[in-house]
Amino acid sequence: MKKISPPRSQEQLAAPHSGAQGARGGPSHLGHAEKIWLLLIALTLAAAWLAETGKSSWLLAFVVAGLIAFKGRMVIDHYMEMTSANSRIRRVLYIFVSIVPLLVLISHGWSDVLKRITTIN
Amino acid sequence: MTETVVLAEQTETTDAILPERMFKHGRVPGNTGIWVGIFCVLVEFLLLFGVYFIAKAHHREAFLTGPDKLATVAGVLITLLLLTSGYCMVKAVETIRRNERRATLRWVVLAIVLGCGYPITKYFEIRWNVANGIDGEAGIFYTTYYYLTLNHLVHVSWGLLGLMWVAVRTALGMYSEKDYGGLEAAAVYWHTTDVIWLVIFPFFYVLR
Repeated sequence: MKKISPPRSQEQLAAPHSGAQGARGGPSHLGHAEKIWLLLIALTLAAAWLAETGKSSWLLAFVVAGLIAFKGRMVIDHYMEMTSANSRIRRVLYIFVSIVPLLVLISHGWSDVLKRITTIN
Repeated sequence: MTETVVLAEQTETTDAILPERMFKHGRVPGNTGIWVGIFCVLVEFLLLFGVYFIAKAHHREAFLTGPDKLATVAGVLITLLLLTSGYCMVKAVETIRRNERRATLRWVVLAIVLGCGYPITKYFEIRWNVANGIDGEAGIFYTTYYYLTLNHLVHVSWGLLGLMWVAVRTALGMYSEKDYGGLEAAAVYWHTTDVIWLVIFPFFYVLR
């Protein structure tokens, strides 16, 4: 019989990433949500730099694809708390942030093929 | 184990077993209704992204030079506003779970204020665009840009209306640590608009 993971307790939900100490009782250093927020902000600023300096290349396509996948996963896992949520919902969201980066790479490398198969004669 | 037994015993109607089935695969943040809406939005935007990729394949040159004329600062500002507003909703959910209703209200209101920065930024961005000759007829890249970004703005506006509704209900004390599904549903929808913008932003401001 398939094992079912129990839902998280109210205490775990109240401090989803703070361990046993909880969000209120913890030390004054940055909490998990703050760290994720700072990371996302830093990656956005890095993307802004790329926007101003980047030229069309495989490297840029890979970096952008990586940024979409990584930032998307960060929001899904940590903002939406999907790591402990319904596995089917989580899977759909993961597929979304995996397909788009893949399309970025396909669009960069096989633009002519994409053009050919989407041309109506 | 117990849940599986309950599941097996509940065979009367689909409605009766659906919540248990959902439970079997883990907790559903917010409520199931909001996820139907979210999945529709994801499918809609996947189709719109398809339009972007096809247009790009057919007009390579326009998509190579198009981002150079857009105001990158507007795209970056919108990203920062959405991510920070999303962080506020994370804190709102965290605080309501501890039944700190006043703190929850403050976080939701802050999320709304920051979220409202998006349409304001968009307004000034479009004014700047038009002043620089970038309107809907400026070329395929800009048509696609307006098509996707304005569509996203519509979804963000719905999200903002949802957050306002949640703020009113929070102020009226209608959420507690035991009953906050509505607040969490608004939060996950709001985060979904974040995820979608994290795709749109590089499409038009970074990628060449």
